[in-house]
Amino acid sequence: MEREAIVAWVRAGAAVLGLPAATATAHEAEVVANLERLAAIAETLEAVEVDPSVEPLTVFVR
Amino acid sequence: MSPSSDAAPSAVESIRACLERIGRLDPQVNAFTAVLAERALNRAAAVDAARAAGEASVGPLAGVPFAVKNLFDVAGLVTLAGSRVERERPGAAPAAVDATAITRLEAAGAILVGALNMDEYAYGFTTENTHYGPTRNPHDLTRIAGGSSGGSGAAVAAGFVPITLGTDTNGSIRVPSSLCGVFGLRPTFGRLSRGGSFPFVSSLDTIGPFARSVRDLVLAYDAMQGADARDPGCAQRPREPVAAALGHDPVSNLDGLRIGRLGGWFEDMATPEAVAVVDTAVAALMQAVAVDRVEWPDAEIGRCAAFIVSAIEGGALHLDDLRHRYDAMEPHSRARFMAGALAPAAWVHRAQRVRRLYVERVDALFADHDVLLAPAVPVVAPTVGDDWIEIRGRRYPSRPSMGLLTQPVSCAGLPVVAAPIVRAGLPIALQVIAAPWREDHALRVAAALEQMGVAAAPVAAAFA
Repeated sequence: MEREAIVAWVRAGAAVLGLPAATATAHEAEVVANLERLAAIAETLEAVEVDPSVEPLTVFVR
Repeated sequence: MSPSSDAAPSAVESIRACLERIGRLDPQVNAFTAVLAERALNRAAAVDAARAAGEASVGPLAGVPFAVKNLFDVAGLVTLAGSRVERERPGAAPAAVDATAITRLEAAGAILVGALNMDEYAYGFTTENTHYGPTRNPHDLTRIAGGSSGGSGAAVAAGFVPITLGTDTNGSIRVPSSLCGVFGLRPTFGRLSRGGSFPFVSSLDTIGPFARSVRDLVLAYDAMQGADARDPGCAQRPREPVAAALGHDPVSNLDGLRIGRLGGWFEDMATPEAVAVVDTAVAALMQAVAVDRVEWPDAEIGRCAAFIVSAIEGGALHLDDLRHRYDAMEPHSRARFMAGALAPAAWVHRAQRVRRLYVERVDALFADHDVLLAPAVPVVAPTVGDDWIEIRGRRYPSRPSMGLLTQPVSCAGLPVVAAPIVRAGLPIALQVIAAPWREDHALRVAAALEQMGVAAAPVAAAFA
């Protein structure tokens, strides 16, 4: 994913989530770096073939 | 005093000695964030009174001191979870009741002496806690103890207490067990109650014990078993105690176990010295049973799924503090939490679906094997403050990468014993991995390695 897209996402997301603008600006570079890393990992998972019938594994213990 | 020792001094004497040792030596290690002298001595007096009255029910852990990672609720203490935020939260109240695990250990006679340092909110593998200082490795005080349950590993390695409790989401028991050279158990997901513990990633979190012997590990594990309405993720299973199954001759007890060693990812992402601990264990076990090579399916995919789920669940959990108290959060992890909070929901949904496929493929390995072996960490303990580790000529960021070999295993929710292998130099542990609900298999192999003298957890030399 393009770095510019991640930066734009972080700025928009910070506004949507209500993160104070000063905090978002001061820490933007490290948050962008971490989100870029997650994006790369997410891309690896996107490449895995998953049938639509496969349900997400979440906690449900009886 | 160890629960396995025959000597039984008065509990009050034993606890006084334990408290004195912690007070004198812990400033070098920084394992404890709270010491509960009054509570412990009162409890010890009660144990002595029960013994004097001839009560048969003092329990298998009577008088044994233990300590817990500071994300467990302890009545009368604010549950820090390694954070400054919880300590300073307006209206922060001390816990009203103990965590279930503490209650159960005390019911077995054990005595809580304190709370232990950790990575903030359990998001880390190094316990370089900015608010409470780093926990140092008793085997080399310039090095990290591992994390996130670093205080739990270090307190056992330094001989402060024989048993501690930690939590393991992605490796937070196995990494400090390995770097500090002590035994650790991450049980099957859902086996032990997390009631009264501060969560990190509820779909991956487990709790478990650390100890200097397999027998002590088992005594603590057995005492904590059982369903618990306080934890919706705790399975409604009957208790399955392991102590009797260990027997008096663990090596002969290996008969019938099908054991494999993991290649591929578990060798490629480890230094030669980490792979060598598996060589040592396999050579010893092959005197009693066959060991073949096994390829774990899609280890990297499992790690990716765990990474995404952890970041996004963790980020969502701490969203309000990210909004309002970002500057008070741990500089080593707050940007990771924030990135997780900002990540698209589609990523975690995908990770959870991939995880289901992954778990099915991993579970299939246990049709032909009972136990699988792999290194627990890629390298020995790095120096406090190191940002990078090197594996086979490639550099990796140290803080997330200490879990390279543990995350693929916990993503499948399997039980694992971390068994420290005897070697020259700094400790490294072996992961002894079993099928779901078969902690007994992993503990049997660890006990055999201990009996052979291949696995051991002596008190660190500087503290012996």
